[in-house]
Amino acid sequence: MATTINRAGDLLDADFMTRLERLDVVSRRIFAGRMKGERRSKRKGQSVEFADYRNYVVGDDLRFLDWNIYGRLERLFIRLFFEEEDLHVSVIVDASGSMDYGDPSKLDYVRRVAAALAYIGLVRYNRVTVTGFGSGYGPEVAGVRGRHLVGRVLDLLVAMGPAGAGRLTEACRQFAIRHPQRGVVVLLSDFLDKAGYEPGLRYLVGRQYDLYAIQVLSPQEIEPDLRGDLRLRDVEDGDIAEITVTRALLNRYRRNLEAYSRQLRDFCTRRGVTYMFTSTAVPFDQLVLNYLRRRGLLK
Amino acid sequence: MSFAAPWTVPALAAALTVPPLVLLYFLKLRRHERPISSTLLWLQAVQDLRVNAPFQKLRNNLLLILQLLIVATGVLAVWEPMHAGAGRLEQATVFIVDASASMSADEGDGRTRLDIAREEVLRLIDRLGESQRAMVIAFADRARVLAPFTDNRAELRRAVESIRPTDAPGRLAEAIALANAHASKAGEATDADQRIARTAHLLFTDGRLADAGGVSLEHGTLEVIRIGRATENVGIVNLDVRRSHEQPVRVTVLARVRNFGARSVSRDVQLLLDGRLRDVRRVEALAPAAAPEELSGTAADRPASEGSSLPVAFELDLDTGALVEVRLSGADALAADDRAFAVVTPPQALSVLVVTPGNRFLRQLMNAMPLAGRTFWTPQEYEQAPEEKLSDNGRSRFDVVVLDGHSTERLPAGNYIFLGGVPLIDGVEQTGKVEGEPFLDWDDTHPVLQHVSVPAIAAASWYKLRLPPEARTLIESPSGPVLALLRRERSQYLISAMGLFDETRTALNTTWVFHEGFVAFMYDGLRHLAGATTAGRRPSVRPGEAFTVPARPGTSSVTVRRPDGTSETVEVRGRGEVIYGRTDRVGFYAVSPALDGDETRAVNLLDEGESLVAPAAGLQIASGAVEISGTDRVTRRPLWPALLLGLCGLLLIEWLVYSRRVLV
Repeated sequence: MATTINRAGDLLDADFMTRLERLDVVSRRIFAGRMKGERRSKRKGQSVEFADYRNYVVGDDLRFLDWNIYGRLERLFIRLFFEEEDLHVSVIVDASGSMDYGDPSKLDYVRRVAAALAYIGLVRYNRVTVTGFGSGYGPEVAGVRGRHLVGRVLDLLVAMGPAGAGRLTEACRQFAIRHPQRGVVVLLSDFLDKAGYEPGLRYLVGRQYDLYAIQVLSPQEIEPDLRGDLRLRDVEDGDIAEITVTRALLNRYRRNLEAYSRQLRDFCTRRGVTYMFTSTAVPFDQLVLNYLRRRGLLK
Repeated sequence: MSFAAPWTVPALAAALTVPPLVLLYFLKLRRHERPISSTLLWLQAVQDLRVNAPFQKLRNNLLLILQLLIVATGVLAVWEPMHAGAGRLEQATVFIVDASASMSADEGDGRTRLDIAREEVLRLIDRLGESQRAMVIAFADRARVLAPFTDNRAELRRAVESIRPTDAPGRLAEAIALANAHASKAGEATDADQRIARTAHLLFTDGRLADAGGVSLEHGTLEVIRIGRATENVGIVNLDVRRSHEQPVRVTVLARVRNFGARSVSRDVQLLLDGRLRDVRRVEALAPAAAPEELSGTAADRPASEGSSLPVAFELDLDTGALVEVRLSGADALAADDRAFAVVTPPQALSVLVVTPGNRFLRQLMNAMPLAGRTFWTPQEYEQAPEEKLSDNGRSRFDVVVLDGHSTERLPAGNYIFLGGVPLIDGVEQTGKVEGEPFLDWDDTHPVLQHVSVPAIAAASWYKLRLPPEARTLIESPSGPVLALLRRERSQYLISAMGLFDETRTALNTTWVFHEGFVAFMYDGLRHLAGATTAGRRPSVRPGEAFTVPARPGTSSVTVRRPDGTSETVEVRGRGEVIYGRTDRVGFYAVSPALDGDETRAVNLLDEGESLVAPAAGLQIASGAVEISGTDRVTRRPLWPALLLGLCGLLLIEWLVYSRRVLV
């Protein structure tokens, strides 16, 4: 399927970007960032928002002593404030051969979604990492922050083409190794990996990311419009399946797809991963503006 | 190699199975290729369907079972099984029943082969469907359509029941020609609404048909149903009765007895004169003709094995005519060849008139011959002789008239030998003279020439003869016949274009007169013409052949008494002859009144082909070998065509099952 994305403007138009600026990535967990950000951290720190008191112990920063309480009670208390930290927002894009399928192309679709999420992250001064994978890990833009780097991220996504047989497990493993910081991780894939999706997700779950697994399928995969005697060739590994399309076979396929997605959802749910399913038939702006907000990834 | 099934069966099978197979084959090859994001779910779906399909285990084995069935069907087909049920009949069937002598062979259960054949045909007729038609042809030496194509079973049954045994030899050609004629398009045109699309000819025979090799079938198929199992038979295959040249009252009866069976036998040979036993000879230990398993493949014309054929001779004095019968004692399969018949004429002394200007060779020869009377006239005396001295009631008073160098038209009915002259009758002419030519061909089997060495004859010249077509040439030169025999009405002319003297009668034209061959020629010629050709007996005929007897002048019909005791009235033909052709049984046929009182003729089988009763293993006709099926063919039919059809069907199913396993 030929891509329709040849430049950054094809990913996100200005109007849509304006609408995205009102959104923010939500993390169900509060993570420690490296730098102070726009986000209240779980850690007590140096923000302006008071959190609590605790007894002074030797070594505490004397600047945080509450002298008013010492005057009244003659006891040393340290004032604790909510720390405001930056958030790691990572988007892992499946750019394997199987994603270059459907109308519209799944790869185009996920790149647009990734661009939107990255844009929101950058605008909100989060640390944004965008990683693609196909037969190998990458390309990647890691830990970028600030609106001025939007262009770099979008360029990466524009350049991200279908790249052979997807190796989800290996990509997840590499990501987990390279990005130990906790944060929001959005995995965009069709999850149609013959090696299975479970090991890869386990690597990510093991890092305790706030993980979102978004399964993207094309309408042609959800309701195949196949007919007659066919040799189906897997675009990734060239595997052949000879079929004669019958009603029974189509029904069986649909049931299998449903079961596959359900298993993925169950797998994710049991491990605290948020699973989302979408078809490329759903306009991606609706997905971002409505669906992801409803599911709590954005607010 | 022969094919029991018509060509339409394999054609139909191929038409039904090959196109679908090829279609499936091409369908599989032409599977369109489509790229897909992942075959993961499709493979799973295919696998699921396979696993969840009902009777999946059975399906796995179904292919095996099918393949086993295919192999079993093939093996069974190679085994050539026969269906033990009712045989199938075609839309149009011709029942051809052999009623020849060998079909009268007794099968030991009181039935003859013809009885069995009739029963089989009747059984088939009962199984004819409403729209099926059949015809019945019976044949021996001649064939007869007993019922033309009809669906009237009663008529067919009557036709079959009317088949009577004969002692005639079996000749298939005429029967097949009749069948061809009825099955031909011309035959169909007479009955346009009942088209004979395909005709099956069912031939019921023991396979002993001498002329089968020259027979070819133009329409339909030929199936031969072999009738009979009996093999043991001893028969008289030759009978020769002759009077001695020197002592006319001495009669020698020479019979040849041959064993056609597989067992050694001994038999008594009886000689009966006028129905009374006169003598008996014992034939000891006739050797078997062949081993039992070889009998079916034995051809009738194969020389008899050593010791299986023995001559039996009787000698007796007989100064009158008599009916001679040679009879074999004991019973065997065929009765018709256990008896042989001959009519011995009274010793006949010839009265000969020699018309010659003077020929001392002829005179001495005639004087030396045992003749009742000899008269020598000159040509002038012959021409001037009063009619009553020459003829009596239009017939010559002499048994034979020899005309030496004289041509004449004064020829009352009689027997004539022309030496260097011709009878001046219609169609016979002397057209010139031939000198220094060799003899080209001659018939030394003819009684007149049987003791003559033709190459030894040297002659300076002879007349060029022009003869009517019915004349039989005995010696032929490049320019025409030299010696010929012409029968016309009640006269016989033995014409030699070669005279004994030249035209001047001063020099010999040939040295033949000095050879003993000339003596033999004259003697045999006289006896042959005088009707004593075989020295004392009238020629016998084979069953089915006609014989001719001169009728008494003035009679319009005669009575023929047949061997079975029945009598038949036969009209006299225009030439004053009685021709009788219903000689279907062996024995004596007495004609009365004939020219000289009653006249009896003998009818003998004397046919080794018919006496060899062992059913033939195969039948070779001009259009190819025909496999003979057994006597119970009617209830046995080869199943391999059906098996082959089943095999094709199984292959198709197997292919479908295999294909579904791959596809779904």
